[in-house]
Amino acid sequence: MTQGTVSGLSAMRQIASMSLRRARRGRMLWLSVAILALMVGSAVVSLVSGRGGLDFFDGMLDLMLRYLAPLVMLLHGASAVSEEVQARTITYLFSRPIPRWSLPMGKFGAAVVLGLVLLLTAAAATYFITMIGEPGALLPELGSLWRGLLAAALAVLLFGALATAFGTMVTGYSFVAALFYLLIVEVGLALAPGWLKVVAMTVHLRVVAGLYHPSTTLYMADPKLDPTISVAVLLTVTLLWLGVALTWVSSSEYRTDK
Amino acid sequence: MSDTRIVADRVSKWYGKVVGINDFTVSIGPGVTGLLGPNGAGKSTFIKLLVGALRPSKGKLEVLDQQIWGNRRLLTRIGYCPEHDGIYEDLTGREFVTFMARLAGMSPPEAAERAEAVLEQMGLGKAAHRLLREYSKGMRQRAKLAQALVHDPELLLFDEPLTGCDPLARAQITQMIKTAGQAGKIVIVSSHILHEIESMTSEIVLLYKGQVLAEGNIYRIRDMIDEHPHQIRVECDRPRELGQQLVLSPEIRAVEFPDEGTLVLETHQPDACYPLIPKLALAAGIKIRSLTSPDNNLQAVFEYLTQKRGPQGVARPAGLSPGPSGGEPRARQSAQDGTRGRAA
Repeated sequence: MTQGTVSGLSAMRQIASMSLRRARRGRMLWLSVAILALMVGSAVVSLVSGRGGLDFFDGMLDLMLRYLAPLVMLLHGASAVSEEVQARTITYLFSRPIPRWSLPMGKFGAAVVLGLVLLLTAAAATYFITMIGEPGALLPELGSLWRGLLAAALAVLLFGALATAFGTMVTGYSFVAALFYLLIVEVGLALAPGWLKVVAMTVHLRVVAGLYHPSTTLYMADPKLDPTISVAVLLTVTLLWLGVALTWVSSSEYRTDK
Repeated sequence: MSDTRIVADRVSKWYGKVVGINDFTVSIGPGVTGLLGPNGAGKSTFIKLLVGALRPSKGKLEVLDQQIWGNRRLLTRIGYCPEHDGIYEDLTGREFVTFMARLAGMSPPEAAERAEAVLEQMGLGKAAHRLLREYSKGMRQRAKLAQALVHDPELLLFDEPLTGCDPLARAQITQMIKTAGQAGKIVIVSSHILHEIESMTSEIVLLYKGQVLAEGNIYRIRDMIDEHPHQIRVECDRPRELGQQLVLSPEIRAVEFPDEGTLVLETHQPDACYPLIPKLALAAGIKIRSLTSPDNNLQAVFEYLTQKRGPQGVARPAGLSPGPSGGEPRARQSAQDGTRGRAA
């Protein structure tokens, strides 16, 4: 045999391909489809009841960016390494000449591919179904769709990275740990008044999607946020989460003996 | 034959306060070597250290003349079959082995070709298209072995490879392991079932409580055992009378009567004892029904060195020093209980 070490990218591709193949045969994919089908189904109901239009789409997009995108990405990403440790299959992977970082990155890649296909399809379908009732606005309002798709793509990257980091650091109940984090930071802080809410990435996603409207109260004013800066913040935080995952996996021993 | 060896020099691995292996010194060369020990002896920990899945807490570990931890280039030369039943349930046998071949650095056509060949070799050719969750335990075990063999490594690490296998699969796997050893590969096989190891090799490393108890050829270890209290079980009609006769002989160290009609002797000189017992019995008119030694097989050696030696369960043969073995068997750590008394 003439094999040598395997490049990180090649190993990542293999692992991502294997993960996608397994996802096709697993239940998580169908659970995600079911979750997003609720969104598309709501659009159909709104169309039938004559309450469609851009406002409805914005409402659905807001729901997606705040709750559905994190949930779907957690379903696919939070098992990055933890699933392999729980099933003990990590022993096979780490007995091969691959860089350790290729495991979480391969899992991240697979989660991102699935997330992009599912979320972008759901967002686009929701837009077109919602706007059928207002054919005159379908094309003029396409900018809203593009902004929404960009925000959805950034949400896939961000929450995929976050889920991968939790799935790498927490080998038991990683989904629960990541969900707990999201509830506190993303849901909790997003509702906080003033500058505190900029810690929540869902706020930046809504800025990118054009859904963020700062309000001013008697005591405190919401910050005005620029979409370009929000994109930079989102990409930076995505890289930070991935960095955490890669650093962790490179230096950790994962015990598989119960 | 390659000269490369596995050298563990005072290697320890702790899991927090729990000791996996402790002050572990061993040297292993080409051929099949059996790691033998009860559950928790440290067999799997040692194998995981050898494959670089764990980092030694202390000591020096060289695999094929190189440090293993963090040395992924070396992993191209190692095939590992873990002891657990974990496997990718939602992949087919073919997908699993091909995937592992690709991760070993093979090109897609080469990986596919090798996967087919090794699955066929393991008797899984016809089941290769089925999902692994549909495999029986023995088939899963063979799939695990197939992935370890697919890249034709120099060092094979098989942790409890016969677990769950039916007799036919056992015979196939045993033969495959022996063939690999004869081909000059370094094959390390762990088991807590002694006859499994005995059917594959006579070179063994005995482990107990995270330490090397003894290593070398089983027959040389038997010689070592013979220097130590050796048990002979005599079933006869008047055991106490025979015991009284025997205890007067200098060869006999202790006599026990575990039940009516049975006498168990302990001696340092079994060769002298075997003729002495029938001689004395004949002189006293005692009928011997059976005369056996529990030490006549590997099981007895293992039990002798571990479980029957008091709280630590470890015997120390006199005159054998610890240290890297160049072939001589050795044993270490003592806790001889000496609780048995001489017959009155």
